[in-house]
Amino acid sequence: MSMISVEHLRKEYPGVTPLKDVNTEINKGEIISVIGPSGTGKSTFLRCLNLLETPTSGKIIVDGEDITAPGCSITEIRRKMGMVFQSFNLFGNLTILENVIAAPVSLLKVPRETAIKEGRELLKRVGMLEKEDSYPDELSGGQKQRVAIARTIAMKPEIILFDEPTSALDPTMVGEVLAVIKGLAAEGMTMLIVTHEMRFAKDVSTRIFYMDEGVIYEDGTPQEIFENPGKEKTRRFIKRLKTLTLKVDSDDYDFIGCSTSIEVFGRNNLISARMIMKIRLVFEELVAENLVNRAQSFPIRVDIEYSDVDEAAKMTISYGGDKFDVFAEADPISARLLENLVHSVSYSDDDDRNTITITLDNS
Amino acid sequence: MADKPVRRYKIYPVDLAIMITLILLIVLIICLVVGVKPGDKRNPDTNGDGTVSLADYDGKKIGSITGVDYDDILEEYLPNATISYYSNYPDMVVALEAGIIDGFIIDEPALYPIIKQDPAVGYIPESMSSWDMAFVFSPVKDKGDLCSLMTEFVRESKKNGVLAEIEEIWFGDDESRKVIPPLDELPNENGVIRVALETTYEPIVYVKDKQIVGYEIDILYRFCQKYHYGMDISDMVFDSVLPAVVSGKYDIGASGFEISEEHLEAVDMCESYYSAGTLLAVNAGDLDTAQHTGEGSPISQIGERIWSSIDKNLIKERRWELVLQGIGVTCLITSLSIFFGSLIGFGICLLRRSKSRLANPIFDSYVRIIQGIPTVVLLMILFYVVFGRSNMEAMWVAVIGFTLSFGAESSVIMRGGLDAVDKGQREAALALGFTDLETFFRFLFPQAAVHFLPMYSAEMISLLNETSIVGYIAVQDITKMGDIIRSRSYEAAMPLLISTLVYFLLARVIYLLVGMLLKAIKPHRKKIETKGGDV
Repeated sequence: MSMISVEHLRKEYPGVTPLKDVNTEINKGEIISVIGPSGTGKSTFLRCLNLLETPTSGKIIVDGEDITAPGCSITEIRRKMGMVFQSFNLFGNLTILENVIAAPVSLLKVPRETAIKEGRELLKRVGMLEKEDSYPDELSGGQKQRVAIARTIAMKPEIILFDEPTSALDPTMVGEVLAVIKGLAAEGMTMLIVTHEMRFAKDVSTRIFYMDEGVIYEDGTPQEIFENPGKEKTRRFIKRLKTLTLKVDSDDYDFIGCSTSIEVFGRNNLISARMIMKIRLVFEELVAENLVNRAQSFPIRVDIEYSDVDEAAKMTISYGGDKFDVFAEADPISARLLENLVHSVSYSDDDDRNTITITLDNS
Repeated sequence: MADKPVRRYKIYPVDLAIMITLILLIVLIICLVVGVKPGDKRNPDTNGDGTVSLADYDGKKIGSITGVDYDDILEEYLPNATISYYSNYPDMVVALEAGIIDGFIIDEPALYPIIKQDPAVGYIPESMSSWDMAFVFSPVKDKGDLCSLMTEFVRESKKNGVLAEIEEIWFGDDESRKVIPPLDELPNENGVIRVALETTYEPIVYVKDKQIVGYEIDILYRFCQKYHYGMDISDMVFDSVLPAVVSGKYDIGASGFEISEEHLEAVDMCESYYSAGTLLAVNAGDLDTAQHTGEGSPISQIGERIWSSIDKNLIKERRWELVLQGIGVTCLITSLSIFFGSLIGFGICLLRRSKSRLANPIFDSYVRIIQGIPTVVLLMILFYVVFGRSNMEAMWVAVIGFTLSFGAESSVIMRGGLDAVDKGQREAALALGFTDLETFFRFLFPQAAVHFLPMYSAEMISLLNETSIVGYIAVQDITKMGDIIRSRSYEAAMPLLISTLVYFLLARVIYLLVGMLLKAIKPHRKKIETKGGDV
């Protein structure tokens, strides 16, 4: 029998309905990543599972018990379902160790001595034993999240719900938290993780929920979802293409403006500095050095697409005038500069427009 | 963990503040006690006619008492004077000596005890018109027509010489005759008459040997004795005597009401038992051509003055007991109001957490109504309207009033503190399996307390200071006791200083207690006691 089964779950707020009709079953030992665009009810779904949000309708059955039924002791159910929050939510009036032992001592009636011993072991496991006497406001975000995970495990839950555990973290701290979650996965903990870390989701999960339009839009193994998504919406999301279009209409165009646009585009999309450098070089050498001085080239259009998943960029440059393969016929210095930079080049000449497509990879 | 550096002895700003405050207080005591020298010559003969007369005071600053309409007299004798109104004579004596006013209008009987005690006060012997004194009677006649009965009694007393005897006792010099028998010896088969008055009007109504006595009290006593009534006296601020009687909460109001049209519109008044001649009290120095010079350095007299001041204000008639009683009442009202008010505030915070649609608007209105009413008005409404017909003791009314007021304030402060605690912690506790109440008490409230306690202690201190208005509803707290003592010693400095010191020290106590509480609940960087060895 499945551990959690969700039937026709619906959650309405005044004006929006994040969850329309969610149906699924979650089995013991599964590590499920919940992915999908923002605002598609991923967190709401998670928060409905332990009734932090009250479902508008539908059933949630945990270990054979309908927790949405009146009279069900939700505090008992919650003890079996740990939750890790985006904003850590450590208790500010307690030390790190007290945070970890508070619930086992008060709720599970574990003797204090035992709880302290176990708490220290857990802190050691997440690498936070040194800070046991500190207060939460003395820790970094990553440290707080590791303590929050220890606090959740201290209750020995059957499943842990992670609500975007790394979204509020400095990028440098994401790794330490993901490492702890990976450790739990290796131990066979059942987990449901709402995340935007695609690579992590792909590596660690046994199953992926792609949520969109208020339902679990696609449900499959990481291979199915990431490499061969069945539905178009999933594919678009998984590929996660970032695009930038530059237009050059005359030879007194704003060169610095174009360079800055590429910089900003790269920074906003967390594209590696090396990749940004490559994109800029292609733009400078082909457009600025070789196309702008041909009067018949205008208007020039540059489309840049970057895929997070492939970590590769595709640049499509189209320009007017006679047939002219700017890559092949570039000046010697440019040609030499670009030679080893690009992954592949293709040229076409349709409808009086020259089009050159260049792919750049991360090597 | 790195060891913290050892803390050295140093003077904390708080200690410094206390020291500076105490030094300032001592300087203030010396200034006030020593500063006003009796007989200072301030107003010599201004019109240059060789004598000091009423005419010399026309155009000066003159004090007048509320409750008696002296305007016609002033218009006639001192048309150009600037008038300031005071609610009792002792205040005017102090104002006169401090040079705030140049003289004040006073009726003869009230003037004599002042002159006797205070050599700095003199008077212009020209008498102005007189006014007629009588009791005021409530229009709510639940004990029959007391007014007519009193009129009958006054007429009879005039005839048989009783009134003359009373006058002789209270306006005379023989202190041993100025005694009123205990009120509980009165036969009270016809009910108990409730009397509202203010006791700062020697010899008409005042406190002697901690008992309310005086000319009017004697009349009332004999009246009650004759007609078999009991008598219950409430001492309040003079300005609230008339409203108290109008409301029907009291049957009779005393302490020198003038028979005037204004009064007659609101209340009944009996036949006058005394016609008070009006005089102008001035600085004794104004009248004296032989100047008080060469009295010796005032410094040599400081000790003596301070001692005589302590004697007059505290030791004589065991007046320090009044101070202690006043302190007790102030402490009781303050602490009970803080206790019950905190319960209300806490209760509101707790109930607000429930999602009830009705609770929040109710509590909001409560808070807004209470915050929108000045506390003194709230007290009066409770005393005269809400509990007007009940016999609840004024002190409990004060406790209820301040509890309501503090409850509103504390709920707002606690709510502010709770709002400052991050909402996520509540969800985290719930997700762990704590109940809503456990969450509130274990995690949210302790953190909120750290945020709101500093403001809370300020609110408690402001409540303490605000209790000084309870004199309006006949509660004798430390401020009111100070007034009573002042009315006998004719000295402002010492009673005010005593009150100041009392409030200051009580405020410190509150501050220290809250500080200790804060220290106890604030997360201080400590070690967990049970070190279970290394893991």
